[in-house]
Amino acid sequence: MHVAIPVWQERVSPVFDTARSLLLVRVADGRELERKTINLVESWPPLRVARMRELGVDVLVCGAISQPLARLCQAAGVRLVPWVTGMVDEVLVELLAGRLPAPEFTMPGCCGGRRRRGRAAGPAGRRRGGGGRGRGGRSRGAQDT
Amino acid sequence: MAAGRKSTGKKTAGKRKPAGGNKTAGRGRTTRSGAGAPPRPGWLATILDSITEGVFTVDRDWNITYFNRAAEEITGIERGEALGRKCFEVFRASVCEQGCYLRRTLESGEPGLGQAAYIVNARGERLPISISTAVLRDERGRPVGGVETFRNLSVVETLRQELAQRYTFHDIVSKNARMQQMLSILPRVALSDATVLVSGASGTGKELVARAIHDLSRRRQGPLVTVNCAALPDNLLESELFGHAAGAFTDARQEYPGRFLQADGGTIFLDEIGEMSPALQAKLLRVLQERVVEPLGSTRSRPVDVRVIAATNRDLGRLVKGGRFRQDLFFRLNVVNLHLPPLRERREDIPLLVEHFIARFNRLQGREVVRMAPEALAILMEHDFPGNVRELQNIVEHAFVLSSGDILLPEHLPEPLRPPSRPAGPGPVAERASLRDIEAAVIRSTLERCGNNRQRTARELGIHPTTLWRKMKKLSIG
Repeated sequence: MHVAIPVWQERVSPVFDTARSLLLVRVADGRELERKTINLVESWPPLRVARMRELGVDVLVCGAISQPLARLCQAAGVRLVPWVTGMVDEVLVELLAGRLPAPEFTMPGCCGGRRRRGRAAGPAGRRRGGGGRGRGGRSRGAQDT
Repeated sequence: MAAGRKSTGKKTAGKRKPAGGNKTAGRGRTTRSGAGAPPRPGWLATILDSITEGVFTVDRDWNITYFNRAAEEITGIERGEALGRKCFEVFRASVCEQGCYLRRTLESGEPGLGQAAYIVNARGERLPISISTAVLRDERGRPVGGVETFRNLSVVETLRQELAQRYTFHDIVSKNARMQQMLSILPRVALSDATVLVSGASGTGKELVARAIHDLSRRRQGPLVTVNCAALPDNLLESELFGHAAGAFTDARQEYPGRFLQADGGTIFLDEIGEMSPALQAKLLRVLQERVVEPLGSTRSRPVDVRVIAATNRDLGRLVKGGRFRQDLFFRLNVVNLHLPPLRERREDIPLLVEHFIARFNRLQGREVVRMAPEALAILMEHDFPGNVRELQNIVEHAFVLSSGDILLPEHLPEPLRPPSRPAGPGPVAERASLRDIEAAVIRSTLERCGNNRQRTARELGIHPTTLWRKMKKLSIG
């Protein structure tokens, strides 16, 4: 399995749409086997996703990602773990241990800003650091719809 | 505290001197008179919270130390969540990594004004913004951090688009597999400089694709000239396309270069090419073959460097067989063919498009419509959309006009779509209904259309097969 993490100053890039560097890690049985850094020059979202496909990315762990790009990733069969922040190495350890998303590695306002539009979103939707993701699982609902 | 301030204000107001008295009493400062009560520390926050521009401050380690109300609104992040976090985690601007404006200001000491960028807000929306930056200093003039103010330009950008009818490839909203495949090859097509034929029914977004190709091509700095070949009679179209010399015909007092020469160095988009007469087809073929145009009434050919993108809602192959379209021209145009499926073949995009149009009309009309009621959406999911995306856009606009609330209901849809003899109001059922039912209906109908083939169904729906399996399990399908 290939995990990709956009990198900036050894941290997860704040915005995947504009990230310039990608850490590609080959993992098996929860262990890191190999890693390399790739330059991302493609800014056009479909091309950026085509590059992910070429690289064989299965899981993309990233910070903020715009809706169109997120939809393209999902359509390409790339599993998204978005709104992640922190040092890349620590994030990778957490991912391999199956502990992502975790509150301490989650961007603020990560739950899709439901409060702004929906107004009816429950308080869980706005809890700091991954609140609203429900019983510690991935926020798949937000990613797959 | 507020009450205290009020009473203080009243007292001072009572002691206020006549207007003329201020001149001598204040000596340039108005603070001692009632009208100019000294600013209090708490006021600054109130003032900053009352403006529509987002404001945040950072310390020297880029931690957010202040975040006003407008910043909360624009980013979708509450102040309590933002304070103490790194600014790039909260602001998430396109310039955070490369060329952060605030960093530049802190390094140079020079303020920055009205710099363009976009942010990704908490909903994952890209918002165009304008950023201004300045250094914050302590009483000794030493820099202690920075302040960034930003304006949401979404409304301005939407109005600009609407006025110029100039939409970008970001307006192509789709998660349909065929559309995604087409979009993924678009950049390569754009860079190739090849002639492109965009086919698809009316209202599927052929002009958006043409613009995307132009914007992604090496010709993006050049003009994009659009000509609707069905909008003009044949003789006018010829002069419109290729120009005319002065005196070429009655009223041709001045030389007119024509659209091809106007598009020199750029792209010409020939919409509804299937409507062109055989005579004009022959002239167009010559331009494509020889890359020269000959204006009407002129004997001089003029070279032109233009990329041609043509579009049609007709089956050109059939027109060729019927002898109504030149085969050689067809082959010249059909170097790369991009086909846009009708909306009825990508129904999974309907909710996305509805959301997209709601956001656009909210910006254009200053409304705060939150969503379309599931029952209304269910009606749209069953509709065939002969007018495709343009029809859907008109339907949403129609619903905006009729609705005064923040939810678009079935009765706000145009007459033919409106449910017959429905009791007024949505009732508690509509409020309880959820997108879950619609999601289930879409999956069932797609499964049926794909002969229960899950791989194909997932592809049609633009989701991963595992996601489809999980959704089916969740929705108890199959």
